[in-house]
This record gives sequence, C-alpha cells and structure tokens, in this order.
Amino acid sequence: MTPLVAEIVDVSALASVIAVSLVAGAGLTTVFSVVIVCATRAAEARRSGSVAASVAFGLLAAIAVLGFAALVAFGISVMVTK
Amino acid sequence: MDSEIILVIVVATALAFDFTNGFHDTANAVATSISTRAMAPRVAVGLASILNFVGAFISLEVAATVAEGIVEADVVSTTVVFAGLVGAIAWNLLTWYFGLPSSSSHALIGGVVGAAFAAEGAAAIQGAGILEKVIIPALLAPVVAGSVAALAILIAYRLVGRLRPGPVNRGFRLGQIVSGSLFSLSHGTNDAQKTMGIITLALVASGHIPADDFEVPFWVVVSAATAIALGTYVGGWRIIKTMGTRIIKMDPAQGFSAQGAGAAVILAASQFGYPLSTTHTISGAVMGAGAAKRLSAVRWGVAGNIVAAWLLTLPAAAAVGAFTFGATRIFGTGALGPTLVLLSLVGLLVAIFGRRLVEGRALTAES
Repeated sequence: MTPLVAEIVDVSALASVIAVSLVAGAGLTTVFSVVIVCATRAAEARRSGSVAASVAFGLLAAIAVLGFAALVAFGISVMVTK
Repeated sequence: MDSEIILVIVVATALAFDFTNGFHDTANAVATSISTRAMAPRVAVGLASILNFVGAFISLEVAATVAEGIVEADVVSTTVVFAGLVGAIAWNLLTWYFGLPSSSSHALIGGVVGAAFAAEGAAAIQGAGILEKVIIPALLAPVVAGSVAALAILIAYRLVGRLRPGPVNRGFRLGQIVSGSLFSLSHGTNDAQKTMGIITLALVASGHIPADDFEVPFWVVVSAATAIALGTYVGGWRIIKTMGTRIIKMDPAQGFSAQGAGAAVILAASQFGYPLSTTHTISGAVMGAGAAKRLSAVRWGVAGNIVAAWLLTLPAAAAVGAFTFGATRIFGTGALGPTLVLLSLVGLLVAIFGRRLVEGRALTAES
C-alpha cells in the first residue's frame, strides 16, 4: 500500500470489515444449511419410523433456526444502532 | 422569492432522484429471489417496497451535508445540489435503459462533484475524499462480497450436497425470503437517508430550519420513504433481468448465499464506517456465488459491461452535473435557470415515458 493510500485508508477498519463479513456471511449460510440438513434428516427418520433420530434431528434443526434468527436479529440491530 | 422557488425545485428533484434510486435498486434485493422462484415477481417487489419504506424510518442519522469530504462544503449551494441531482437521475435512467446495475450513491456524488467543479473549479474538489469514499469502497465491495459468497456457497454445497434437490431448493427459497428482506431493509435505511440529507441541507441553506442542532422534519422522512418505496414498487425490470439471469443462472442455494453474503458485507462495512454501495456488493456476491461453482458459469461479458458502467458512473454523472449547472447559470443566479432546466427535463421524461403511461404499460417494463 502506498503511503498516500495508507494515510487515507483506515487499514484496521478495513481488515475488520473483511474478517466480520467472512465470518457473518459464511456463518449465515452455514447455519441455514444445517437447518435444511437437519430438517430433511428429521423428515426422513420420521418416514422410516425412527422416532429417536427424528426427535434428535428436529431438535438440532430448531437450534439452528434459533441461531439463524439470532444472526438476522443482530443484523437488524446493527441497522438500528448505527 | 427566488430562494423559495429553488428550494421547491430541489425538494421535487430530490424526491424524483429518490424514486429513480428505488426502481434502479429494486434488483439488488429481489433479482435473486425472482430468478430462483423463491417469490413471485410482484410479491417480491411489493415486499421490497414495504421494507424500503420501513427501513427509511429505522435510522435517522442523516448526513449533514451532501458529498461531505468530497467537495468543499461552502461550494455546495442549492443550485449545485440541483445540478448534481440532475446528473444522478440522468445516469440512473441511462443505466436502467441498458439494464446495467450501477450505484445511485456514486451517481449522486459524481453529479455534485461535476456541478461543484463547474461552479468553483478544481479547488472545490477533494481528491483524497473521492479516493476514500468512492474508489476504495467501489473496489472493496464486489471483491469482498464475491469472496464471502464463494466461501458460503462452497460450504452450503458441502453440507447439503448429498440430499435430494427438492427439499434443499425449497429450504433455500424460504431462506431467501428472509435474506432478501434483510437486504431491502438495509437498502431503505441507507438510501432514503441520502434524500433526507439533501432536503434537510436545502432547508438549512434557505433558513427554514436552524443550521445547528436541527432535526429532520417528519414530512421529509415520510416523503423520502414514500418516494423510494414507490420507486421500488415500480421495479426496474431490465436490471432485475440482468442481475437475476444474465450474470449467472442461479440455483436457490446460490441466491441465498449471494444475498446472505451481500447483507453481511453491507452491515459489517456500515458498522465499521465504510458505507458500501448495495449494487456493487450484491453484483459481486452474485458473481462470486457463480464463479465458485464453475468459473465459466459467469457470463464475463455481461460482468465486464457492469464494471464498465461502474467506472463511468462518476465521470458521466459529473459531466451531466457540470453541464446542468452551466445551463442554469446562462440565466443568472436566480430561480429562472433551475426552473427552465426542470421544465425541460419534465418535458423530456413525458416524451419518453408518456406513451407508456397512456397505454397503461408498466413504467419500467422491458418493452
């Protein structure tokens, strides 16, 4: 980075933007993918008569939904408080 | 009397800009949801419109000046703002016509820079401000959003890859309703504020509200929210088509990853004081989600046209802004110049869109 650009750009803020974006963006998709995987596995287990597996996957799906909702709520709180 | 007339003209032009901002940027929130059939087009646009309206009320931390840190503050008169708005509206309409997503914020900055240059010369422009607030964010947004979306889609494919496509697609379509809504809300919060800032600045400059310790009048908030929501509802279908189907052919997982990555980047940047263009961010995210699957999945010719439009945004809007400022000055410093320019523009727009309205066709439909 040239001295002029380094003077103008807040490098630490820039690094924070990149790091937080990576964690939040990939995290949101990961958590939602887990919702889909667990919900699908729970439905398959229910159809095959495996109650324990169905309940376990259902619980995991519910926890992942809560995680997804928490991330969305955090996003809205960023909008409100910025 | 002249300052009152110019104030009315600036308010009307600012609301017109807000309207074009809405329909130009509809694609940012809805294109991926429409192309993956997560929502019917009219439902998607209607929801985006409502959320843009609501978003405008969420945060009222309005910028005190237009293009702060980019042009010298004492140069920004109501006529400069008017000419800048005309430059931004012209660029928004031109890029909409060619179906190219481009930043309305950068168009507005470009218009004001051009008008300020015409008013006071190069001394009015702060080059470091343009580098910091326009060029670096324009480079940062698509690269970061593209990288985040690429990582996200690779994780998603890894996790859901062994499942049947039916439930996976249905799941991601549901998720897109949430991620698209988050995007629309953040758009309303960010973009309606620009118009509120412009109108507030004009009210301060004309002495209608005090310069220090002012509050944004409620009618300004409501009118800016309404204009961006109406613009969003009209929908810029040409840009929606480009963003939704012409860059990549998207599956629901890619649509969700692109929207999620886009929302994460915009909110993270906003939190750390780097306001980014929603257009640059979502365009980069769509390209990243496509390229991660297969590089050849991205139509790089279309992507190249979009990047060319981004490069031209600032100089093109600046040229129109400078020309408009010069045109108003032919008639002196009073209200006659802005009035004649405004009437000419209204006449031009009626000539272009009048037939559509008479025939009852959608205002921004492709044909």
